[in-house]
Amino acid sequence: MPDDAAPLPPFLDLIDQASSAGDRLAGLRANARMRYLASGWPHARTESWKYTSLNPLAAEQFASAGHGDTPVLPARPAIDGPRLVLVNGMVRPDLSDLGDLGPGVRATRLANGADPDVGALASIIEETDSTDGLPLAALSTATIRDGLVIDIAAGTVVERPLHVISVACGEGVALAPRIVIRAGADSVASVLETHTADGSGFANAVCQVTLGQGAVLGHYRVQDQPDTSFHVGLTEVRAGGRSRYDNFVLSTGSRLARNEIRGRIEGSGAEYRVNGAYLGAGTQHLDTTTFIDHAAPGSTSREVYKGVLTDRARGVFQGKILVRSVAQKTDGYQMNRAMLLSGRAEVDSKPELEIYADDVRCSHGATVGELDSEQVFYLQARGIAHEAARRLLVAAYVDEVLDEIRSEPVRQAMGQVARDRLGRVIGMPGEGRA
Amino acid sequence: MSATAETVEQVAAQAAERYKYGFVSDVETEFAPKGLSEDIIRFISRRKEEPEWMLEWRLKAYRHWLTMSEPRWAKVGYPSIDYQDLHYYAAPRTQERPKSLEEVDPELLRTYEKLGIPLREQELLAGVVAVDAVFDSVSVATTYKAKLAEMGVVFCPISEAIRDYPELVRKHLGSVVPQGDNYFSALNSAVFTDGSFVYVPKGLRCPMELSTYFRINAENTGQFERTLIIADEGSYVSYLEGCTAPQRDENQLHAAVVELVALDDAEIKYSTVQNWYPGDENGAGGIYNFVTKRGACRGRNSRISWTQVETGSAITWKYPSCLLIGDNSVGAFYSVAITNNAQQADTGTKMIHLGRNTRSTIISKGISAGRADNTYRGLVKIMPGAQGARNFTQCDSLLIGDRCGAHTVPYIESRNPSARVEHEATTSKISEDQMFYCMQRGLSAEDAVGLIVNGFCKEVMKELPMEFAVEAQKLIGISLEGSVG
Repeated sequence: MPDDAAPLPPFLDLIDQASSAGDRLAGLRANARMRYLASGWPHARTESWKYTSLNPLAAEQFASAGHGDTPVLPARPAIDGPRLVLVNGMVRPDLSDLGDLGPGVRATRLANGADPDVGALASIIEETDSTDGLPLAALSTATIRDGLVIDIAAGTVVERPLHVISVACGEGVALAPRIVIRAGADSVASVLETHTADGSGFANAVCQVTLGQGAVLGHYRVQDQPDTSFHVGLTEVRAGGRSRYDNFVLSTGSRLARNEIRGRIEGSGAEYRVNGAYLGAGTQHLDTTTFIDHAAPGSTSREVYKGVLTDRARGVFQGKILVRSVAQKTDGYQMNRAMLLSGRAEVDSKPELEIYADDVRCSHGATVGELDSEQVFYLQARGIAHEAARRLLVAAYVDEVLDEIRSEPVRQAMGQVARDRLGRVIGMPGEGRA
Repeated sequence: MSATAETVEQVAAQAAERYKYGFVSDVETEFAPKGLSEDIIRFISRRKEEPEWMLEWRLKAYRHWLTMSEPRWAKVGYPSIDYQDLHYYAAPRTQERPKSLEEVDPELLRTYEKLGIPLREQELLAGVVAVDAVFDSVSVATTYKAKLAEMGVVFCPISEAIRDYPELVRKHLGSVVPQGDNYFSALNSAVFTDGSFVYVPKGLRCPMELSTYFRINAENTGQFERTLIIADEGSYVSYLEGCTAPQRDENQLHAAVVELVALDDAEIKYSTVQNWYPGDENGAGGIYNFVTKRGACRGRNSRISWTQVETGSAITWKYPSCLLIGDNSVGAFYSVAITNNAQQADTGTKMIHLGRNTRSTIISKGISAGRADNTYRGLVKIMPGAQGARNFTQCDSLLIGDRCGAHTVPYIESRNPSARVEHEATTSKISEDQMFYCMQRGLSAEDAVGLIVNGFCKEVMKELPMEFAVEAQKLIGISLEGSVG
């Protein structure tokens, strides 16, 4: 059937509310609004949203929020490092250690920062959401009010991880947290993002990362919003030659969440790692979507995701590796494992390879199953009760993927969050929330 | 013989070998007028002397087809097909269906001899394969029919089955692939002209391989055959299918539907060697092979296996699938898909697990050379009732050259925690070490590639019946010609 006039996408009221701000981001918002209208809302036959329907999100009403009150910041993940806080997408200098980031590290605001070069930032921002199939990124830019820009100077070695905390404050708020990370050549740093909320908000987060030649960046993310809220997060990475990118996402919260990571490897000799764990319970819908574009020869990518799903939770994994014809000598590996702990949980997995170069090594795998009854029996035979044995095995299963995290303090902090979550959903002895 | 003459001869032999089935037979052919309409469908139905219910069934499919749009989601590219520019019926001009081979047009028999299917010998010698030969739109000869009938096996053109076994056909036709299942199955349901029908009675192990050889001969035609195989309780049948077409610059559409029904404890083994004309090196001409194949394991402990060797066609776009309905039923898919030059393939399978303890295995080997694109696309779906279901999938791709593409797109949907699903895929190339090893022992580069690729495909080739395995091995070598050096 011919394309009739597509219905208008939802949330245009949010765009109107944001555009009244009249700040220096007004031009960006106006352009993004047009892209959002042109791309339309993803529907059931949009391949990239095949397994995740956004209808429950579109059915909700949200309001664009202001600065919000001063929220209670989450105790977990607990990490020793300078803190940068966004409340409802706005940077809160009063809660942040903006001036205490150490030599070579600078954090500025998009809305009214000292950085006069808003044009350069705008081009980074606009490049991402002009990509086909990313209408939510366009919506995010169309409602942008502020953002955090982290610059790490060339050659800088940052010892402690920077902790970016984005909080949605208030019931029914919509927010567009934006983070831009620019890691200079041969710099070494790590950034941990925590996304939480104190109500039933809708966070539409975008993070844009550029790694210069030889830059080393650990980039970690915890999405632990309440189970009544919505989270759509997009991370877009451009990795230069010889750079090393280590990403891990722990997704435990939200009623409906997508964690999407799109990376382009632009220089040779890069090492690109994206890993993660998703732990779903109740009626949660947790989606992980990744795209790795090998656009330069001789690079390595590695991807391992694990999911644990109980009750009526649904997990979705879509991972695609593209190897362009120039990208000879690529080594790509991708694995998704999901564990179903209940008869009504569901997992949908779509690992995908698209390869145009012949001298490559690429493999992917996927497994779905329940706890191995032999392993449970082994523990029971040694005097461990059935439930305790199950918990032990699930914890070990998740720990294995947490080991992919290269930053030790981040790995420990993530481990606490994961154990807390498992404690609540399958009765694991967590360490309690402080 | 002078050296020059020898060379000329060799070159000529090679050109012939490249696609030796590319000749056109001079058989007088009767066409339906070009185009598609309810009148054409009435014409086909009248020609086939079909009962009223069959005509209604076709018209229903046609009316549904009119409401559908051509799918575009596959990773294949082709210009729009003008469905009004095709003949939907082309038949060798004979007065009546021949009673015996003596009455078959000798030109037709010569065609099948050239194709390596000597129908006459088959009839005379005690062979192991019974053949139904389909020429353009109609079945021209079926061997061993009488012998099979003694045992209760029905093996005949589907047009005959519609007349002689209407209750069987009516019960099962469209029960696995409904008319409106997809765009091409709806088109096929409206205009199919012939194909094979097989019924194996309860408890019988069919004593010989059944085989259909499909041949597109006429110009500007589409071939729309329909195959229906029913294996009654406790029976077994092995069915082979081969396909060729002349070398032409135009593209021809082949949109077949194959339905398999396996009842309790029955087993169907379906093997295909698909060698439709692939088009020339520049991508001119060739067959569009858009086929819907699906088997239903209806009964307990039933088994269906699909084995395919896909070397021909400009575009291959098909997913032979299994509906695992009966408890403990087993589905298997073994595939080798080779694309060279400008060929495109988007093929794979769907395994839908509904019954308890259902099992499926998928082994797919894709080989891409020249400027070809080769995609594996598959679905493994575990429904909530499929307690203890098990799937294992392995997809390996081999790339020869840096201008071709190999893609793997598996979909895995699991809704039962006791099910275990495993998927593995790799992509690699022929290593220099392997080539060096072979060539050091005196093999030419092309022979070395043929040998290595045959090794790569071995897991699938061993599933083919013996009669086909030899032919398939040769085909693999031929279809990769010109891909190295």
